[in-house]
Amino acid sequence: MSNESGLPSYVDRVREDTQKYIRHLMAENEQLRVAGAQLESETARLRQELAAVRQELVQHREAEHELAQTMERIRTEGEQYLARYAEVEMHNANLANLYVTSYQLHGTLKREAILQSLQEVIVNLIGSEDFAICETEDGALTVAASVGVEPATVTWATPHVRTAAESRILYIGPADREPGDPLVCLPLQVDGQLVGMVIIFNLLAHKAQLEPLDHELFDLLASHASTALYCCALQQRLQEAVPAS
Amino acid sequence: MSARKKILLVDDSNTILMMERMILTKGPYDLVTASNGEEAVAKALTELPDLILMDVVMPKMNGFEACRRIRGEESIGSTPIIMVTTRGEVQNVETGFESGCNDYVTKPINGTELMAKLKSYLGE
Repeated sequence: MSNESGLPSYVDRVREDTQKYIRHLMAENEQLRVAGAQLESETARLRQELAAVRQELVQHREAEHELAQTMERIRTEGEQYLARYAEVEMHNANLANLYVTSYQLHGTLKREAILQSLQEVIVNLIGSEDFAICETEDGALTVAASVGVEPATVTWATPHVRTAAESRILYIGPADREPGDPLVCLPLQVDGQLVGMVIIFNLLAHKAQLEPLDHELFDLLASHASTALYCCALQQRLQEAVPAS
Repeated sequence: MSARKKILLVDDSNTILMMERMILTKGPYDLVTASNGEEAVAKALTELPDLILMDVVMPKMNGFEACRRIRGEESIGSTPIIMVTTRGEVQNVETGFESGCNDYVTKPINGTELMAKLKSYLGE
């Protein structure tokens, strides 16, 4: 429709603009609808991914838990192996001590050397510088060697000495014993016959108490030291009986 | 592969030398022995050990004096010295450190403790 001048009327222009606007709105609406659909699709995809990640996280947590358990088991095993190693090392050291003691005692037939070895074992392996090594013959108790002890003070009257000698049983005194009382009275015997006695009064200051190895050393000394001293005495008597050619 | 280290064992007691040998033969060490302080100084000068394990109470020359003599020798003055003592009292330990020893172990010797100290001073 035109007005008299041939130009589109105001109404025509408004209608045309409105139609353009409506087309524009519809196009925009379509774009928004597509964008909405894309967003929905993206949201669904992300939800799926999130679920997968959550699932993965759960699996990782389970794996982490399993790893922690494995590590704990390995750590425990490691500790057990270390403890076992220390135990074997200790056992090895104890055997070495016993071997050295036995070797030293039986390495000679000279009385002085045996007594020296016996002293070294008591000082270095048991850990005492306060002891006496006694011999018994015809009911007499004689101090053959001593460290840190006045020989004259060691007699049958020394507490627990006679009891240990008569019973042939190792005596170990309490930590809170009377001053001067022995800590250890170790009868030395061959075939049940008493040949001597090791009397330990105190341990070295830094050694608080006797250890399991010391008891094994006492067992070994009780038989081996006495045998070594007995063999030495036999050798001496033999030499005296048989004149040198 | 690390070179074998040489250790000088000094003690007048055969029992303790034997014990030390039994402990140390488990490691890659060449062992040399001396039975008194004088011999220790002489052996240290000729053998040039990587470490010295020294008893304190010995005939002819005690461990403290031997330690002082060794510290006075240029060629061996910096050799680590570990004293082996029956007495762990403070005064005895102080005397050891004054004479120049690096460390000490007490008798009866604990093999594990001794090996740990040796390895530490030998940089193993």
